[in-house]
Amino acid sequence: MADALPIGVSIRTIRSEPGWWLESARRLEAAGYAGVWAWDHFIGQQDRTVPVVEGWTILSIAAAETSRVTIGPFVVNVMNRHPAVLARMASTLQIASGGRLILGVGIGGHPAEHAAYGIDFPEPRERAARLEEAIQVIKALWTGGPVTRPSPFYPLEDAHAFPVPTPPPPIIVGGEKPAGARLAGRVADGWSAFEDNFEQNLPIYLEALEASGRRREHQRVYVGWEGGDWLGDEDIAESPWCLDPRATWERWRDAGADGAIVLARSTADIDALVSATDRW
Amino acid sequence: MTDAPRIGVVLSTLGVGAGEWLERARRLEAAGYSSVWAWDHFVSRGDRTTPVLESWTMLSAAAASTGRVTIGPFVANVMNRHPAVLARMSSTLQAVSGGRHVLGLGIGGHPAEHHAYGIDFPEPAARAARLRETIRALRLLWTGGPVTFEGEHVRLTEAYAYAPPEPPPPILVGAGSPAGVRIAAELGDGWAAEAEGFFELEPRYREALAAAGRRREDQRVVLAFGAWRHKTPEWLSQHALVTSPREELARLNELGADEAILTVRTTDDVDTLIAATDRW
Repeated sequence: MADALPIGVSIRTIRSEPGWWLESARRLEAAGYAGVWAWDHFIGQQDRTVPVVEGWTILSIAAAETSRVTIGPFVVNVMNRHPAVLARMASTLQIASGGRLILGVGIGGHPAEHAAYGIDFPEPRERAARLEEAIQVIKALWTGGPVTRPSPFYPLEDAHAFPVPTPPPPIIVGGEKPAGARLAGRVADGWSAFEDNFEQNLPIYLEALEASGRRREHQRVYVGWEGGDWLGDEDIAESPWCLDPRATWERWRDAGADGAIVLARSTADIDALVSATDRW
Repeated sequence: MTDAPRIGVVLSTLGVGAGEWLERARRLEAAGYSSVWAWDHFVSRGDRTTPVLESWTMLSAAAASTGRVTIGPFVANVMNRHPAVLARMSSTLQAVSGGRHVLGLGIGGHPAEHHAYGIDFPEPAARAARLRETIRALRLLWTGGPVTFEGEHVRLTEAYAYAPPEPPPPILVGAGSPAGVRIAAELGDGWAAEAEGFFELEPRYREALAAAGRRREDQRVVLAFGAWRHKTPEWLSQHALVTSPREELARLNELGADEAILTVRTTDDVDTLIAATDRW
């Protein structure tokens, strides 16, 4: 492997088992993939009795069991954890991983899960407002403080938060719609969208980024691949990401991405991804 | 090390780097200590710029870095994480650690931290009510579900939570008051106790167990030394669990503690504890 691939892998956490997840992460690191990512879900959406791995715990363990790959939630749901607590979890993970955390964040999209668990899940507009506030809260706390910051959702008063993560982890907003792309451009350190939503929303993200007075070269933009139904059984082996990874990557790089995040659902997918590096 | 006494450690998360914290866990495990615990705090009560590691992230990393010790928060503050999210974090940690997770859980006691971070912190009675409901909800969720639970603080509606942890982690209730030991006795798998006040509360704990129709021998009492005071190195090197560990542990067993844990703040403390194992 001459150069590390600009491709990271989201390792399925629904219908997943922690030992398998970690073994997959180790194999992908050894094969040269850029990062490993974990969903933030608790329940299967069809069969609700399938095993589900909790994302933050498995990423923290992966930090200890890997040494090179980036690690990150793809993406953490702002409704699931208090952002001040998330800020501290993330700064600790950034330090424990030697600076390998990328904090993907989003507004969630599985209302039944929240209803079942009694976790608030307001309308998208409020969740987006909360996400924007949460990003500001997290960034403010990552200065160490003391921070006093009024907020309709997450006020801080004389809040200290040491150690300061150095560098602060990039915060990437997963935004499939124009509003999400704009939010990313306004306040985040990057943006991700799946293949189907990437090209149409990229200009919206870039416009918002420019309006915020920040520069594209300081951002990270990811394109995601899930191969249809994210909870389905599609194999990655027959996808362009395995058949011709370099050409596929170059197509998305030319479309404006800095990296890709592809979904692995099975040991066969991990095998296929590992073999695909021969074609890189 | 089958004959090692049940003496464990709380590794202070204040003023220590993440790598060093994990190294302490590995060294103390290798020396024969029985358990590694971490406080659930974000800000020091003294100098608020002291670096503080987030406990769940570190405990998860420790699950990968160790292979024998039990691992748990001492104790997780019930106000800091949503109970259902905590249930899933905990079941993932239990699975990955091979069943070495013990969940210490309490009502917190540092209002300034919550105020600074904008995390709810109602009066003790309300936090205790939330603790009771959380313990019930955790146990229900750890069956896999579906669970419906109508509490004042916790609401679950046909909630699924797979895979159930095997076995479910023991829940030790952190308690330093008569009301607290009643919760431990009625709902816990044990009591996470601090040395201060222990000898006055222990008879009340046993009374409350008897009143609840539960047997002391089915419970686990873990007694912590050195959390708040005695911060000098001399305190630890002169502690009876260090100078005459077997005799002191036998005495504490007689007085109602099944396991004793010592607070570790510095690398010198680690060296002191490793040297003390010569006297086991």
